[in-house]
Parts: sequence; structure tokens; C-alpha cells
Amino acid sequence: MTTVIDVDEVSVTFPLSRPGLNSIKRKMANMFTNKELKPLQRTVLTDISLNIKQGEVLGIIGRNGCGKSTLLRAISGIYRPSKGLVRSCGQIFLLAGIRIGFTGNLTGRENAYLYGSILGHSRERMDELMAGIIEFSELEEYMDMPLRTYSSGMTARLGFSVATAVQPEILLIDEVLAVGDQEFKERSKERILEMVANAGTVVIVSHSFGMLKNVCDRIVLLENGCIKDVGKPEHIIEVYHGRAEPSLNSSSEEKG
Amino acid sequence: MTEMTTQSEGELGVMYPSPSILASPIHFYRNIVQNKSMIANFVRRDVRIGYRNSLLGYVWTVLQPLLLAGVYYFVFTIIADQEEELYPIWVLIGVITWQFFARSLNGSITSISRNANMIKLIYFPREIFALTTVGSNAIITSLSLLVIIPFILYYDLPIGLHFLWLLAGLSISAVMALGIGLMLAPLNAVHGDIAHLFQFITKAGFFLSPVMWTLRMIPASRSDMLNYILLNPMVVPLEMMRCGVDGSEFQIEGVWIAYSIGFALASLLLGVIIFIQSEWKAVKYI
Repeated sequence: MTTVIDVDEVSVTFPLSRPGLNSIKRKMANMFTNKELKPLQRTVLTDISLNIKQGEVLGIIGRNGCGKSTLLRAISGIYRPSKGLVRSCGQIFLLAGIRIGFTGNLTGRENAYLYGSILGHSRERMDELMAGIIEFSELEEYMDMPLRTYSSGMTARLGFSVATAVQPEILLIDEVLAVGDQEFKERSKERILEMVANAGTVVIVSHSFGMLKNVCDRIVLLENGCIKDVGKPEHIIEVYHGRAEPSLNSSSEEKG
Repeated sequence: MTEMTTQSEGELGVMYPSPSILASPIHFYRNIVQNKSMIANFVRRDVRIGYRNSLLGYVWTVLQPLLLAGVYYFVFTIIADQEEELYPIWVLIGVITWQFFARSLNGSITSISRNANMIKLIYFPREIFALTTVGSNAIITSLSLLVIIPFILYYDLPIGLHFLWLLAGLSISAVMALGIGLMLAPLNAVHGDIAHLFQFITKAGFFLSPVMWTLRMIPASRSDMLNYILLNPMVVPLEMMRCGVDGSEFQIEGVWIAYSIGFALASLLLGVIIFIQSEWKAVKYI
């Protein structure tokens, strides 16, 4: 099977302090005290290697702060790895925030067009998509009112509808699963599952293990920025809960 | 680590390619062309939201420089007895041009730090933020330039090709603001001091550049100062704007025009290179 995303020994570090006066102060202090210096940067991901194949649905789980979102961001190009390479083929779409660029003083329609263009859709493409967006968000009569008059649920509905209007080749989902009121939650969840089913390849970060079990082919368990285990969903979730031992050779690329 | 593609079948492209210094301008240009639609939408948004929730709307784009010019007219013409007949229109043009430069510059410098939320959620070339800031300011400024029409009629100023000076003056200011802004935006994401410093610089520059005075107002006894004043690359565009309105002959020597244009283009080139080479480090600080 073809590899569509190749994460090759990727490390991502974030600076902890700003260069400048601080670093000079540290050096000065170091001359007098021989204490070990605190690290200047935080390594969020360490030597992550992953091979994601065409048609695969990969889940990523782990505790808060283990680097799940950073990994998705590195894959989608938001952060350049400090070490290693991410290579991919196909158009990658990260579904993270769903109200990017939203501006209170613009109408719902204008915001939809703006968001659409941020997602890379041309004006003509948005003209075509607009009917579907309005229908799915059920905001027909509000589309020409300023966004500041929307409730937060309505805003989320609009954002979700725009963000999911197009079926991407590679879909990365960061926790955006259900928004709005109960009824819309159901439909948005349905739509995500539909997108997952139709997308060529999906990487999904989530805490809803039930859903992950249903849709994922493989799950990656991250711990402190390292891959603790990769494998079949049921097994990895057991490992996460500490009810099973991780398969030791975690970096093996065996297909589950 | 080898960079060889082990998979022969997949044409995997590297995410976040890092162009070399020489390739940076081409990379920059390609990013603009590929994201035309997004840039246009951002510019449209910025132009609209600035005035949408106000009663007078776009009238403010005209009213603000007009009121400010009124204040300087009062100070210089009535109190200080400045005799130049065209002084009100000179100062009006000066204020509009300087506001354009200052807002574009400060907006581009803060372009990464202001858009931290968006940068963390979606990837697109980050130079677009600075570009759209300058673009939307250029549109607002062009609108506010309409205020000179009644003045042209009132003073019976000539109408003709000299209006092209306006385009030249605005273009040089825009290129300079974008260039310096791109150069400093990554640094400002790391050290917010840059924005504070440049807020001061643009305020000081308001007085040190010929905004509420013109080169013509320098007394002959101090003409030795002229060469120092012209070291400020904004003098040429400001004077171009004046000539664009009153139709007077452009009196600054060609070498200074070349200096100013060269300064603008060099800062753009340098700005593009610095931005493309360092923005990926800077976004990790926001």
C-alpha cells in the first residue's frame, strides 16, 4: 500500500524562554554557581516515526500534553520539525478550530466566504458550496445578519458546516467531533464519521475511545512525546488504561 | 538520516519546505499568486470591519485626516502665521500619507503576534498577514485621498498626469512598510518590544518627516540641513504626494529619488528573505 504521510524521526521543540537578556543572565549566573541549568527548550515530540498508508484511519491517544495536537500540527505544516522530516502526498486538511477568521461585524455569509478562502477554496468553489453549507447549518434566515448576533452554538454550526463542506484527501481531526445543540451534535458526529469513511486517509486525535474503536485501523499511544505503542485499537486502549503490556517493539510498522 | 525517498511509488513532498535564501523571493511570489483569493478576502474583511459599526462609516477615513489637518492649519497658519496659501492641502496630504505608512508598518510588524490564534489552527503562508495589512490600508488610504477633490476645485489646481505622483508616492511607502514590517515581524513575535519601539518611531517620524511641513518651508539659511533630511527615505514619497496634488515640479534631485526607491526595494528584498527564513522559528514563541 502507498504511504501518504511519512513521519520520519520527527522531533518538535518549543523554546521556553526568549533569547536575549535572560540567556545572558543565565550565563552570568552559571559562572558563579555550578548548578545545572534548567533546559531552554521543551521537547514536545521526540523521534516520532510513523508511516500512514493510503486509506488508513489512524487514531492518536494519550494524556493531555503528550504531544497529540503538536503531532497533528507538525503533519499539517503548522510547526516545522526541529529534527526529522514530514513528507506527504495529497492535500492535507486539519480540522481543528472551526471558527478561523470569524469576525463579529461581518455577516454569516461573508464569514463563510472568508473561512472558505482560508481553507483554500476559490470564490467560485465557495459559490457552489454555499447552498450545502446553508442547508447543513440550518442558518438560512441568519446568513445576512452580522455574526455577533449569533449565539455561540449558531457560530459553531456555521463554522463546522464550512469546515466540513469539502471532502479532503487526507483528513486530520483534532477533537472536533460534536458541536452545537443535541440535534446538531448528532448530525455533526454523523458527518465526521461520513468524512472519515470517505476520506482517503484519516488521522484522528480524540478521547472518545468508543468511537476510535469503531473507526480506527490502528491507534498510536503517545506518552511524553514518544510513541509508547502502536497497534490494534482494543489492545492500545487497554495499554492506555494500564490493563495490558505494551508490545515492546513499538516502532515496528506491522499492520494491525 | 538519509533524505532519500525510500518509497519509489509515492511522490511524497516535504511538508514545510525550507527554501534557500536565494529562492526565498520566488517562494514569496508563488505564495501570493497561489493565495490570491484568500488575500482578497482578508483585505475585504479588514477594509469593512474597520468602519462597519460606526454611524459615519467610510466618512471617517476622510474625516480623520481632515480634522487633524484642521488642527495643524490652526497651529501653523493662524498661530505661527505660515503664509503658504496651499499649506492646508500640503498638511492634509502629509497626514494621509504618513498615517498610511505608519499603520502599514506597525500592522506588518505585529502581523505574526496578532494572528497567533489563527497561526496555531491552520497553515498557510504567514506573509499573507503582512500583505493584507498593507493592502487594506492602501485601499482605505485611496478612499481617503478622495478628500482632496474639493480642495483641488477650491484652489483651482491643475488636473493632469501629475496625479501619477500619488501612485508613485503610495507605492514607495507601501513597499517600504511591507519590507521593514516583514523584516521585523518574526523578531516581534519573540520580543514584543519591537512593536513598542516602532510605535514611538512612527510618532517621532511624524514630526521629523515633512508631514506638517514641506521641504519648501525650510529657510534658505538652513538649506545645509537638506541632505540630512533627505536621508529619511520617506521624504521623497511624501514630497511626491504633494506634487501629485498641486502639480508643482518635483524638485528633489534624481539621486535622492533613486536612494528612496532603492531603500524601499532593498528593504522588501531583505524583509522577504528574513521573514521566509525565520518565521517558522518565530511561530514557536507565540
